[in-house]
Amino acid sequence: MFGKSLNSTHSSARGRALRLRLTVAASLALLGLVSARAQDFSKSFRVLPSASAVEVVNKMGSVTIVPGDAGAVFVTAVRNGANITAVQLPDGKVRLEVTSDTPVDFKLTVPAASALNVLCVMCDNGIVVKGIRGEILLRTTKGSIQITGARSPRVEASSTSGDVRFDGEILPSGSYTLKSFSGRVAAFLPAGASFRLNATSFRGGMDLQDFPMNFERQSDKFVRALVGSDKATVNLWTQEGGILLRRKN
Amino acid sequence: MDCRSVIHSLSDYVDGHLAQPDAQWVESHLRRCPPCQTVKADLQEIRSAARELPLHAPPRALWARIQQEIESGEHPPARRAAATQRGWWQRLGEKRFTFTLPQLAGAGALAASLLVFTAVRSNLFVPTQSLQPVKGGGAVSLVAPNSQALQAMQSRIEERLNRLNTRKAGWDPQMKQVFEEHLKRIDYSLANTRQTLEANPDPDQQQMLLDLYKEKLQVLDDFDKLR
Repeated sequence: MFGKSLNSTHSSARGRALRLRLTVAASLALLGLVSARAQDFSKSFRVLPSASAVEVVNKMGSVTIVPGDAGAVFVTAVRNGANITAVQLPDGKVRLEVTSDTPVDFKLTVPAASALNVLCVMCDNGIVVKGIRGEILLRTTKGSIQITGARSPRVEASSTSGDVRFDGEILPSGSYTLKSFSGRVAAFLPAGASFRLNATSFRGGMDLQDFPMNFERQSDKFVRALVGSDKATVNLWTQEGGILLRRKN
Repeated sequence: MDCRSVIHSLSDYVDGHLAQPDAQWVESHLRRCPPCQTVKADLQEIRSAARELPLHAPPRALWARIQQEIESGEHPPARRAAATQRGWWQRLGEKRFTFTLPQLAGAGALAASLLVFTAVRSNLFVPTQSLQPVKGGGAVSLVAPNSQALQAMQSRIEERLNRLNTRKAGWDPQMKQVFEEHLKRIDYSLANTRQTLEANPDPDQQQMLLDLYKEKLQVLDDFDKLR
């Protein structure tokens, strides 16, 4: 009885182990399917590291761009059934465009020196750009913009109703324009940065106290001032939001 | 001494402007000449009557003209002859005019009307309109100050609005809503800024208006780029 019972117990344990294995396998398969469904658009392009350019036109959703392989642009997206055109133009530029009224969340890995030109009209999840050294042109009607770790000679980031935040280097002779009609504009710059500042906030006020500056013009709405030399230009503009200029820690 | 010489000096004698020897000489003649006595009596009567007339100050322009004539030493006939050889514009510039107050007021009103008419005809000002709803769901905002940049911006906005209005029917409802809400918000700011600018036309307000037009154009461009 004891032996029969032992055999029965052993058989039951093997059954449980088998069921566990099957469950794990099924879970992994399901996870894989879900993952494939989540990242249902994927494409890569070979590009010249020094002349890489990427253009994105997205109707709604989000765009995230980070630096990666110096000779390639990788694109993944949650398509949600949207029509996405992804092509490489004769000049080497990679162009992505959504032509249906469906939200698409793009994730791009690009060479750090890439020039970016992004339009994401209804970008509820925002435009995020990290660690880029090429020209950055970002535009959204509805949505926020975040640029971090940038070392770019030219930045133009503009949102109509979202916040715009820049955290990066100011290069000599560089041009940096951050605009928002109704959102907040914030710039986090290195302590030793030199630039000419043009700041305009019609209704939201300005906090510019972190940098010692020589004011050429100062009112509650407009500030024109010099921080160090005037080789670079920083333009901060908002109609209804506030302006924040901070030294990076 | 004859009567002609006495009569020539008689006016100065009556006014008491003759020197003593000449005055004695006129008096001796008058004692012997009744016709000259009659002339003397007439002159005195005229003088008395003139004293009773009210004093009228001559206009400034008269004194200025007299002074100019004295200084230039030019006699009126000679000046008229010279004037015929000059152009009408030069002659007009040399003329002196005097006007009554009603005449001046009338002329001022006429000049103001002409100025406004000319300004409007030559697009010196863009006519100011109140906020009006338009097809794009936004509003057309025109502004008084003459600025080519503003006018160019307005025509580009109109062009984009017309184009987008034809496409908007086929848009996703959410997209349509975002488009109209954003334009409405910018138009509201434009209307406020325009009102402020009309009350206080300073360059900052004008710059603000230009920035708002740029923002509106930017939103229109965003949607125009979508396929």
